[in-house]
Amino acid sequence: MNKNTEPESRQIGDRAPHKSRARLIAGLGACTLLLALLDISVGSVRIPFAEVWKALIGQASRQEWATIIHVFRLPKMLTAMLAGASLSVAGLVLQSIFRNPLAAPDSLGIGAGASIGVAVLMFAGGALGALGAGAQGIGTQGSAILGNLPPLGYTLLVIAASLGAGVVVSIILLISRKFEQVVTVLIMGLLVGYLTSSLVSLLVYFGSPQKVQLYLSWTYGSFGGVRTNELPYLAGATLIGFALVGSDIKALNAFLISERFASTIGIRVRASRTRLLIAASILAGSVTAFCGPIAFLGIAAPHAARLLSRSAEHRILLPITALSGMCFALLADMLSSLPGHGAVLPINPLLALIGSPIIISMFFHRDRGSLVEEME
Amino acid sequence: MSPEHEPRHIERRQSALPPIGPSANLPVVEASSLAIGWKQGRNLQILTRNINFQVAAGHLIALVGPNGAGKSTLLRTIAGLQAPCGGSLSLLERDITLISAEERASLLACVFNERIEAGYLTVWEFVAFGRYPYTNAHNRLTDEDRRHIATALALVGMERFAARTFSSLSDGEKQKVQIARAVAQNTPLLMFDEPTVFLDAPSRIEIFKLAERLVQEEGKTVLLCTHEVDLALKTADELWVIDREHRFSAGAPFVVARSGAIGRAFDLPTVAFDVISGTFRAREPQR
Repeated sequence: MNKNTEPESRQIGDRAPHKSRARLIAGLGACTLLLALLDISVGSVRIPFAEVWKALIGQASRQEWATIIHVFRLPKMLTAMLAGASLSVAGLVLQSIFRNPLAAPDSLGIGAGASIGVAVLMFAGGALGALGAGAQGIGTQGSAILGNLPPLGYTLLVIAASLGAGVVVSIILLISRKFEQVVTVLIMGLLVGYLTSSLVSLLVYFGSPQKVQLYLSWTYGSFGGVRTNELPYLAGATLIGFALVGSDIKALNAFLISERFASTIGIRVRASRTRLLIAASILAGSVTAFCGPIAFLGIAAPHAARLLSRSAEHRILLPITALSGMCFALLADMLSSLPGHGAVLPINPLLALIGSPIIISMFFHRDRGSLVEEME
Repeated sequence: MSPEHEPRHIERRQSALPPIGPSANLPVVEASSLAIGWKQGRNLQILTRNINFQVAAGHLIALVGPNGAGKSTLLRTIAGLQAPCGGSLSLLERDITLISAEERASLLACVFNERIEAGYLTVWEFVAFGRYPYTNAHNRLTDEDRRHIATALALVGMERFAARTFSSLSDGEKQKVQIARAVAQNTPLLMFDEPTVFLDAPSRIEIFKLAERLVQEEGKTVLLCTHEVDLALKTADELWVIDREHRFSAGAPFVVARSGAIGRAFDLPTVAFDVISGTFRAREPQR
C-alpha cells in the first residue's frame, strides 16, 4: 500500500538504514560480551558463576579458581576473540580485493605458508627435534597441541609459522606487482598454496609417527595455547592489521566494483592493494602462528556479516565481520571445552560444525526477505 | 517512451557553442602527435600514432571506429590508466603523466562498460562513489556531498531509485546511475565507454539525449565512444574516427562523413556507409 510513499521517505539515501545498523552492531557487541562471559564460565572444572566474576575482579574465594580463570580461561577467551576478529577481517579484505566470495586466507596460501614453516620445523629440523625431544612437558591447560612442546619449541613454532606465512605473502605481493589482473594473482595464490601443501604432504609422508601426530594436532587448531605474556603480540598484530584495513576503507569499497573503477575515482590501486594484502597477511599469519591453521572463519564470517547487515559498505561490514567472527570463535571454543566429556575437542571441526548450518540458514532467510521486499 | 525519444526528432544543433564560464578558452583535453598502444616488457606496440585534437569546454565528442581499431586504448590513455607511447596529452593544459590519481579524479570522470556485481550496494551508495575524490579517509559525506549526489540522481531521473540495490536495476537504469555517479564527481570532462551497448533502442536514444543535456545544460565536455554511428552523427558536435588502419581523424560530424572517413573505417564488401542518410546500407549487388 505504501508503495508510493516509501521511496520518497528513503530518498535522503544513506541516513535511514544507519539506525538499524547501529542497532545491529550494538546487538552483536552485546552478544559477543555474553558469549565471552559464558566462555570464561565453562570448562572441565566447574566454577560457580558468581565465583567467576569474583575471580575476574581479583576476589576469588579459592586460589585454584583464580588460577584457572586468570592463567587458562581468560587468555583462551581473549585469544578466541582476537583470532575470530583477525581471521574474519582478513577474509573480508581478501574477498573484496579479489572480488571473489571464495577468497580467504587459506585460498591465498597464507595458511599453507604457515603450515610449511611448522612442518619444516617439526619434520626436517633434526637439531630442533632434539631440542623438543628432551622436554615432553605436558601442559596442564589441556591444550592438545602446544602442551607437548617445550617453551623454546613453542616460540620456535610461532616464528616458523610467521616466517612461512611471510614468505608466501611476499611471493604473492611480488606476483601482484607484476600482474595487473587480480584473478591472475588469485590463481597464483592458489598454486603457491598447492605447492606448499604438497611439500607439507611429502614431509608428513616421511615423518616419524610421533611427529606426524604432533603436526596433525597442530593442524586441528586451538585457542588454548597462547599464554598471558604472549597475548600482547597477538593483540598488537591484530591492532596493526585493523588500523591498516581501517585506513583503506574507501579502496575496499571501490575494489568491489573493479580496480579500473577505483583508479578513476582517485584510488591509488597498487599502493592500496599492497597495504591491504600486507594487513591481511599480518592478521591471518599471526593467528595461524599462535593457534594453528583455522579455516572456516575467514571465509564464513564475512558472508554472515553481509547477510546480517545487507550492506556493501566496509565502514559497516568491518565491525560486523569482526564481531561475527568473535561470536563464532567463542561458540566453538566453548563447545570444545564443555564440561561433561572431559576431553578438549579440536576447534577446526567444531567451527564448521556449528558455523555452516547457521550461515546456510541465513542464506535461506535472506532469500525469503528479498522476496518479501519485492512483493511489497 | 515519449515521441521525442525517436531518432528522427533529434536535431543537429549548431556546432559553435557560446563559451561557458571563464575557462571556456582553456582546452579541456588536448593531444599533439600522441601515440597510443601497449608496452610489453621492452617492446612498444604502437596502435595509433599522430593523434591530434583540441577539445574546448562544452562540446560533445563521439569517437567511432570498428572493433580493435584503438578506441578503448585512446580512452584508457586519456583516463590515465595507461601511459601514452609518445607525443603529448594534457588535461586542462597539464601533462597527463604528471597528474596524480587523486587530482585526475577531480578533472575527469569515466564510465567504463563493465558488468558490475555490487551485492547489497544501493543506488545512493553507488552514486556516492563519485564523491570519493572529495571525502576524507573514513568516507564521511558532508551536506555538500549529499547535495551533489541528489542533484546527479535527479539529473538522470533516478532519484526515486536511491534506496534500491544497484543489482536490482535494468541495464538502462544501471547505465543512468553510472552516469549519475560520474556527474556527482563534478569534473569538467566526462568519458563514456560504449554507454549504449547493452541497451534497447529507446534507452540508447535516452543516453545520447542525456549526454547532450550534460553538455548543453551543465556545460560539461563529454567524450563518448560508441558503435551508434547514426546517433553520433546526429548528436555530436565533433566526430572522431579511428579506422581499420588505426588512422585518427577528427572534425565536424558531416564534414568527417563526407570525407569518406566513416566509410573507410567501417565499410564491408556487402555494407557501405551512406553519407546522405547517415546510415549503413547493403550495397547493391554489382553485375
